Amino acid sequence: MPDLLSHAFIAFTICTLLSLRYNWLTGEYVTVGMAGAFIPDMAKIKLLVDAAAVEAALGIPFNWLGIHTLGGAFVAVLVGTVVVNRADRRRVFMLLSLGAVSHLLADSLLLKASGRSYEVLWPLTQYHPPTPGLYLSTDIWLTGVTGSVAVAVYFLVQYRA
Amino acid sequence: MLHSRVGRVAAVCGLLAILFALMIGFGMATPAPELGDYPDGNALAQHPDSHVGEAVQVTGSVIGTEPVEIAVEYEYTASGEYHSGTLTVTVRNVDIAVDEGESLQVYGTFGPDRTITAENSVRVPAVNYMAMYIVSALAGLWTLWRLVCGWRLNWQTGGLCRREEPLRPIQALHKRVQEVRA
Repeated sequence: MPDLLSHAFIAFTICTLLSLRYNWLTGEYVTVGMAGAFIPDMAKIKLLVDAAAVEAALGIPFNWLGIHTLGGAFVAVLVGTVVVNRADRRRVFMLLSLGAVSHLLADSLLLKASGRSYEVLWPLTQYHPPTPGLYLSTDIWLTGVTGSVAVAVYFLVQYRA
Repeated sequence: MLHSRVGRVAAVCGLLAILFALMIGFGMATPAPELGDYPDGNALAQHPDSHVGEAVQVTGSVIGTEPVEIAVEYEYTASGEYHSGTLTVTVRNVDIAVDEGESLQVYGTFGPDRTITAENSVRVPAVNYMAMYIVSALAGLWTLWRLVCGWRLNWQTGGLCRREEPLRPIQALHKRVQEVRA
């Protein structure tokens, strides 16, 4: 999904629901999960700096989408984990991972003409898993659906508290 | 060792180097149709003849309907030289109605003379990408706002830590307004 808002809504929903079970998971930690959902789309830097331009400058192959994979996202999560205080590292690692994985999973359900998704598990494997093709990357209704669920969950949790 | 500012900076630099290496590795990957990684516009532009008879998946904007023709944008670097442009591909067997200007994703067999015999096509509606970027930027600002309210930078260690008292600018403003009213 090109609009990050859907991904932010999904991560917000998951983390807010988990806060029902884990008391330590307060609003600040929900934010960490949302930040994790942004990690794979750091590849969108390609809109500013073209990968082929980097290739030409370095003389070696290069693709920003490497970060939009399990391996790339994992290393980026570690960066976030190193940056925070020692006491919060374990929680931040788990929440950033949760956010990043929710993004990769949501994108692996995108509709493709070939019926095959992208190399989500790279560098473990280049395998493109079959995709059920639930939505297009340009479907705006999805933002409405994920947003409505996020708002409903927010009020549910507020009410329970 | 990762609790001092120097240790953090070193660790972040090391991790960024690994991330960079991963993106180089990803760039080196070549299409692997047996794994569902089909050649795309870049691969077809670079070596059109070597993909004849293979299954490919490309996306392009429709520039003709009788027969269906799509313009596929490509960019690649070969022997240190940067190439970019559009590749015109004729698509046979498109089973959906398409109009010029629409974006079409096609999966099928690549033939000689830059044709694809489609097995499946997906029409991608033209959307306002500017609106998409604005919505995405809003999501970024929302998350950044929440981060600033809940977390702060410890200048001594260079690390982020949770605020003891999260900032509540909206509630504070609301309270202030009520105080002024009262």
